[in-house]
Amino acid sequence: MARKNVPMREPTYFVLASLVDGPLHGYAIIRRTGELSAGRVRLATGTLYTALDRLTTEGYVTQVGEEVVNGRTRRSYALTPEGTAALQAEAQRMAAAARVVIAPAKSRPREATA
Amino acid sequence: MSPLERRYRRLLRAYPKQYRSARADEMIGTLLDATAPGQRRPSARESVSLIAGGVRARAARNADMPALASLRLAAMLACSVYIADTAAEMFTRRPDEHQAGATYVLAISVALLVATILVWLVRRAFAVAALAAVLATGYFWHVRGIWPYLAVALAVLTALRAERPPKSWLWWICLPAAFWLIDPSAGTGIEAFHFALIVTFMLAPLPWALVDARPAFALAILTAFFGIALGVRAFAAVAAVICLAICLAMAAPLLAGMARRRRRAKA
Repeated sequence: MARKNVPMREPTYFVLASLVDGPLHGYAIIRRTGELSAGRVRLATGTLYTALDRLTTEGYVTQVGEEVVNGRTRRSYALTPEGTAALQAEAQRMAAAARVVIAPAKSRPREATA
Repeated sequence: MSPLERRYRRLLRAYPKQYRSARADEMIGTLLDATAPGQRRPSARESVSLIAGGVRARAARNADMPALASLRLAAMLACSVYIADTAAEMFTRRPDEHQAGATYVLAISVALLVATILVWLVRRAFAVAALAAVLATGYFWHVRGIWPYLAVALAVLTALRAERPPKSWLWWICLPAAFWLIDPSAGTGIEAFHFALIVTFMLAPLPWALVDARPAFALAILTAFFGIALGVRAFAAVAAVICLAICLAMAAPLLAGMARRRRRAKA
């Protein structure tokens, strides 16, 4: 199941990343993904809930809390251990990919050129 | 309720009813939080995302829909068409051809049809009884081939199963299609116009099949029924092709859903 989302789409990645510090409710996820991605990921509400449904089905995210604010139900979502693992795996994959380009020249393996 | 909230709620109607009752309030809260102060209308971006999300949620539900629900609808439609057809013939007959008491039989049939539809929505057991009564009435008046009996057998079989799919009045859009399908002389009597109507009504559920496969499935079954009843006609071949297209369209999501359920059961 964890293999399904590799590579992860950017909005998915940032939705999961927004939950690393603890559960958040819908609007807080939209705000946090915006902050974390430096404004690149601007989730519309419909897109957010479609993503949350999918991530819940995949077992990456779970609903943890429910409170009533202004007479409306507000639910909070949290990462599951599987979600955390998938997010970590994706971060490692991207870090490895980034190192190929960004790492200092000396530390690069370059046996091929000599 | 503010005008903005009302507009958001209207957009949320893109989602299936069950989804709305679980989620609408929460989503409205998020939507209102995400709206810039002073904004009176949903943004285009937000509207598109809600409609796309709604279609997606409907398509997901589609895959989990029991195929029996479609069969039940098809049987129900077939019985309705049978009564409507009988009534149409009744009215187009010359008075001297009327059988004694036929008018009363017609009145009873129509009343039973209405009762059946109402009862069908409430209680299955009563529905089965009512359907049997309808067809018995038809039998004593005149018998038209085997398909009404196939239809009632299907209705009884499917009604006995416990699954209760979500109800929707949109299904009944199939009825005119079914009516013209069974009786080409009904309506206009102009062959080309009649043909255009059939094509339109039969093709209309195709795109909808992505969202809700039941009407398309029901029509496909009805086409099979009436194909038997009609025999060979000029448009029968074309109707068969359309029927095949509908079958393919409806089979994809339903089969995918069945396969997924089986996998899930195994896991």
